[in-house]
Amino acid sequence: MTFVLDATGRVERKIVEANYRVRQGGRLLFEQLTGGQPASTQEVSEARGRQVHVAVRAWFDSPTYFAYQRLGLHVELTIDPGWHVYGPTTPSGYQALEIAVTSDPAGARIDAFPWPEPAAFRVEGLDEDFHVYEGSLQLVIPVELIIARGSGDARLDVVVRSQACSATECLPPSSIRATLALPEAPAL
Amino acid sequence: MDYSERGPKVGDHFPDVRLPDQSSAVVDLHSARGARRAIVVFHRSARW
Repeated sequence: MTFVLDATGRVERKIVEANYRVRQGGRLLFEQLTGGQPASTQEVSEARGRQVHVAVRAWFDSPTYFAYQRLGLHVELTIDPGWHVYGPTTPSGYQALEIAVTSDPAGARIDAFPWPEPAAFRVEGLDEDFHVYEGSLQLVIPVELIIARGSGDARLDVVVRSQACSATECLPPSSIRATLALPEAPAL
Repeated sequence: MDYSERGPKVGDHFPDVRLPDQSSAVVDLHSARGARRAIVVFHRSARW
């Protein structure tokens, strides 16, 4: 259970986890409650992947994990100028941006998170309203690691599925995979 | 089990808390935070 206190010591917000075993990582908790990022001196590993017109960089906000911890997965998409990908909701027949995380040992689970507001986009001659991302996109995705203590180092695959389009051309949907190694934190 | 009604509610003044830290030094929550905001997290244990 988490209490956020205001400057006078009153409870401003109260958070009760659905699963009492899940603990929020410190950096994610700080970011979600204050909107800012704490200074970090910890080295974290990152992974990169690329498809035509879209590149992905991914990293966790912690260099290690422990069982039932919720960490922040940072995903940065860079979309080539003149191209876009579709937002999380898009008309049938087009590939919405999707992000999936799997782990070995199994147990990674994405929690709900806010998507940045996509931009409205119209294609001349089509009736559909599109909502797209262009340029650079930064996501912070809460990932619960429902992995038993003592399972050892984890490998996490982040798969970003999207469809890159320009004003005149749409490529087939494609997936970008970025693989992260996340060591298990030593026991106390 | 629903624990959402347990403990202080939103708007309540958080109780005075004096507990030992990892070095056994007693920390008074409200004195330590001064006039700053604070996050208080309770867990059943440090590691599962």
